Amino acid sequence: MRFAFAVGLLALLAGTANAQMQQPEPRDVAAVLQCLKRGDAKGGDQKNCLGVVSGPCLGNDTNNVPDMVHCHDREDLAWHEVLNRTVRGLRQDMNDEQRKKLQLMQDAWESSLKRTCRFYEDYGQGSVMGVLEAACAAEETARRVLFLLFFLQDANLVYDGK
Amino acid sequence: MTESDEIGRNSMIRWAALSLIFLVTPALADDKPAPKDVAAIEQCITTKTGANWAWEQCIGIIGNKCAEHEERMSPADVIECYAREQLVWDDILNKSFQALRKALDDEQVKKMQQMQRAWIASRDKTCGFIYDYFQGTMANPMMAACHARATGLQALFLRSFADDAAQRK
Repeated sequence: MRFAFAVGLLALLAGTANAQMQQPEPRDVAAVLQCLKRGDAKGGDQKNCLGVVSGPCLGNDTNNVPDMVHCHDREDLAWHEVLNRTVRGLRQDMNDEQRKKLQLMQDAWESSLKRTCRFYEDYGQGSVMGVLEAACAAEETARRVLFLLFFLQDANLVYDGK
Repeated sequence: MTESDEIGRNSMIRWAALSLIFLVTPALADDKPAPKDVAAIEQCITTKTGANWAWEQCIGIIGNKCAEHEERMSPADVIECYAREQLVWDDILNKSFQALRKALDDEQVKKMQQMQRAWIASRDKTCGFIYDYFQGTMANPMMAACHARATGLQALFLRSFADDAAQRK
């Protein structure tokens, strides 16, 4: 059990380090943006965009922890890039006071995200917890993007990378 | 008016709006959730399993349905719809938290409390942002929906751990 936990932790640490150091793959960001644009046009199907990167990545009978974490990290990185673009787009539409509030809100969210997803590791042992933590980060980031897109006056600016 | 006066004024307006959400539903504030609302959400949680945010589909089944004809309703009535749903999620969240507190060791409980504090701060800023952005009466029902949804998400998150802890006994 201890060994399994250690493996999970290592995978998690490796995944976290990768997520922090790596840039998202352009094709992954494009996949998320294309999905969001399609979902927006259809009216409300954007939730289905979660997994657009990790789904195919995990689909190849992946069953080892580092690979699974890597798939979720790729998804997380892509959504984080979209999140950054969305925040930038929002800031352009806002006055100084709103920008300040936006920043405070995002800081609080980041803090909550870290504690929430880390709770998998706090809760249980086993390598699966590392996978769940990585999946949690991607999921929460995707959810945040969908929330913030609601406020954008022209979401196409984000979808089209302008 | 100085910048700090302006910030103070905006802050007061926001808190007035937040207070309004809870003041217009005084009966709900102290009440337990309606048994039929609890049953509907519990039934949904039991049914919706699997990937792709399946449980999340249970969020809104009370509030969204109740506020279906929002355009013909008063803001207070719409807020009450979401407050009704929030009571259910608050109840699930509290029960899950208490169950986990019994099941986890001291260090884990401390981490859970830290997580909950961070979540509350994030939820309040996130839902308050709706008022900062839209300002005006239309923001209040949206804030109530935001609070219900955020509470629902966290309740489901904690519930998954509580269910797991119960199975491990």
